[in-house]
Amino acid sequence: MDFLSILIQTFITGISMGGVYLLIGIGLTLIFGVIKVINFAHGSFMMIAMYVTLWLFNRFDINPYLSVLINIPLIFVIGYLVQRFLINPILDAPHLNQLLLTLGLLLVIENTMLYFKGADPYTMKIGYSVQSIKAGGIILSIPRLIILSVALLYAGLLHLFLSKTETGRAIRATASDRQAALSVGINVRLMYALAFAIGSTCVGVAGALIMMFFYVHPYVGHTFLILAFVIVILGGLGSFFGAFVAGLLIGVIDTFGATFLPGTSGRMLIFGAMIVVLLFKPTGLFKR
Amino acid sequence: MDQTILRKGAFWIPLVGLSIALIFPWFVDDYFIHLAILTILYIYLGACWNLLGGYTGLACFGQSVFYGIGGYTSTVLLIKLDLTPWIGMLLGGILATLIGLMMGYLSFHYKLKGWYFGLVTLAFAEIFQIAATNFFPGGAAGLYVPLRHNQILYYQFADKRINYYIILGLVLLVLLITHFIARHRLGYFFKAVRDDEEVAESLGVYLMKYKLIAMSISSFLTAIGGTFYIQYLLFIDPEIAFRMDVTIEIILRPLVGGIGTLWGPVLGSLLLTPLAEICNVFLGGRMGIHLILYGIILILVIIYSPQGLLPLLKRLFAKS
Amino acid sequence: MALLEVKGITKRFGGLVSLNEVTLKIKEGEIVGLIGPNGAGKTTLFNTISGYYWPDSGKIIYNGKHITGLRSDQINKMGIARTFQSMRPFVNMTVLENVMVGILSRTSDMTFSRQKALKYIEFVGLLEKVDSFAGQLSTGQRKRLEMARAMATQPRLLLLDEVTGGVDPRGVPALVGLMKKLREEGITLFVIEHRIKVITSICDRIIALHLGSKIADGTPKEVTNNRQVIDSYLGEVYA
Repeated sequence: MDFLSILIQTFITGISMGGVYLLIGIGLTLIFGVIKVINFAHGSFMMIAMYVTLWLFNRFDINPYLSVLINIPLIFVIGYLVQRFLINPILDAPHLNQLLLTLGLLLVIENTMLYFKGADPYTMKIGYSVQSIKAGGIILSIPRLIILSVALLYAGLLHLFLSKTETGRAIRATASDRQAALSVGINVRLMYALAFAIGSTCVGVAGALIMMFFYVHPYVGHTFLILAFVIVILGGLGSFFGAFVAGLLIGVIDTFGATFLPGTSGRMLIFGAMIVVLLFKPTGLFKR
Repeated sequence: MDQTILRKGAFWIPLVGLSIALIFPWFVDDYFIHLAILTILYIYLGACWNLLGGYTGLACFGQSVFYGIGGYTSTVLLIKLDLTPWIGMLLGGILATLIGLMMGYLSFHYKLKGWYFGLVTLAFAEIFQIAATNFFPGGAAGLYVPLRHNQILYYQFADKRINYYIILGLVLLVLLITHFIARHRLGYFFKAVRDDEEVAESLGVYLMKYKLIAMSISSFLTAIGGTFYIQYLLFIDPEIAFRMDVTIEIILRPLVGGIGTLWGPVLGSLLLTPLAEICNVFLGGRMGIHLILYGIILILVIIYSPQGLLPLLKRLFAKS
Repeated sequence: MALLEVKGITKRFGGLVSLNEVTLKIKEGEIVGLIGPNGAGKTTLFNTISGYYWPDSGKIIYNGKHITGLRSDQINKMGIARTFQSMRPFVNMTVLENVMVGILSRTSDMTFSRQKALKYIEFVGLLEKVDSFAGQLSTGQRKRLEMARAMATQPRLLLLDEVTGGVDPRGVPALVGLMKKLREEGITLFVIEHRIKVITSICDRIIALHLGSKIADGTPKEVTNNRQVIDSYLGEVYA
């Protein structure tokens, strides 16, 4: 394979990872934008989605693309319950407290999974994960393209929901001005719960999509969580567009870093970028 | 009346506790001494964080950086230069302090607060772990501390009890430092910065200076703890040194026990560390089981007593 | 020579001009009032003088020295202190500890600081609450704590931001008395106030701001009869 093909392949893998990352980022930024809470357990919801996808495939032969449809309501319910019963009581506490609560949640979720499933990583043995087509001498991975498409589709649907539907607009209203939303009769607590639940479904989708290419183990959420932080910071907390762009960007950078730099050192660049952004432009690079 | 009981309790309980702690190792076997060492180590590390996060309000998520640097510095210097870890420990402390000052200066110069600061320190921690895996001596496999067989000079002892007394001494040191700080100007400034730094500045408090002081003390002492533990464990790798779990475990002690209080870390560690051990013993040796309980406790504390258990106990005691 | 000279201060927030070429002088020993409708820029002016904000253009000269661009702790050490309208006590510290902070920024002697702090606490009439946590105080008590805390830094110029704001009308005369006592102690006061009766009774001079610009500067009589002031203030004044 010549260098150009490697570049293009890396780019395609990067973009498809970007699709997954942007979903994770959009979910987190939605939650933050509305509730002003950074959900540390975001990654662990993704882990749950991945295990569910694996189980559905192993037990019932269900295609991971279909698992997406199952994960969405599942993670929605989990997210809703978490927000309603754990986060709502402490909404008025300092933000640090809410962050710490989600940290506690992370500990519980991940280690419960560790107890039941053990630490061994599992992966899906699925034939069509290596399907590819040749286009102009370059090998394109089909599933990766599908993943990208599904991710973009879901992001698009979410965007439509938020901008066109009444509930979506109510959520956005709550995000920009809680008092004003209250005064026009919006059920703010409900909006919070919905935002949290919907934001969490994003990782439900992402988890199902990524299961084909990744190993799952109880702590897999960590990496995705940290990357989600970077995406959300780079894109600007609460910015849908920002998370979208930053997600794609991080996906590409991360993949190029993994391909061309030794070991895992590519990640250092990403964290370095986060630090730089936090210091110089904490509102994010892409805030519109 | 209640105040006198509280004050008497505040004097006698620690005194009795200290007496027990002093004679403890002569009555139990190695297993319990090991447990005690871990418990006290976490009191120590928790108290170090408490100065920065509890008293000054700077929620730092980068403790593992200082801890790991301490451990790596003394170990690498021992391996490469045959330098006694006692000096290596101090050098590690200085290096950690410099890193802490850098992190702190950058963050405070750009006025980062609350969890923004936490995120920056978290990013640094991640960077260090990756750097250690890819670029540090030993790489991902880690380094074994060269055996020197029970020589004080090389900070290695056959008898765990000596390690025990060292960490006991260290924890008394940090508690004394905390106590002293709290009752003098430094503590007043720390608390003012925590409660409202802009107002503190308008009253003449030079924020950068005092935040950096808090950062330095915390990072230096944490690094010392790192060297201690690695000299006890006799092995170090990027996981042990820098993984996120270390930071979480450290922070949990004062958080649960009582943030910004002298005895918070003590209470927190006395509760949490043995709990972890009980979990491991009775629920199968799977790693991380105790973390489920930690998570539940953390959630409950945040919801019902966000300042920690110590204030809750004080309130309960005052009422009765 | 004036104690404080503000020359052509302009401060913008995004597109909004909060202070527009504001120029004024304050002489030592004066009590100068600062009035204006909400949003006129009064607190912004205080914030700029005390170093909380830096002006976009203009100069501030205190006691003959340029203090523009200095940090607020530096400015405080030079002798300017301020209270905050939105009362910001150190909630997790006692009243005594709150006041001691200002003294400790100048000395590290704890015993001395404690004694001095008690004097200031007594001066503002909060002695009975000396060991209470600041978070438990009432509004009026918090206002007085604000004053004690600022006084503890031994300023020559004290910027008081709405000390009677939100206070029960019966408590107002006591606060006015405090301000008079401060002047007797030799402290120059620059006071933001909404209550016209308070302003006219203690101020030697009044400066009026409107939408960031100075529109009047003179004796209480002159300013309260000023057409522009009355127009800008319609509906804002309560006696």
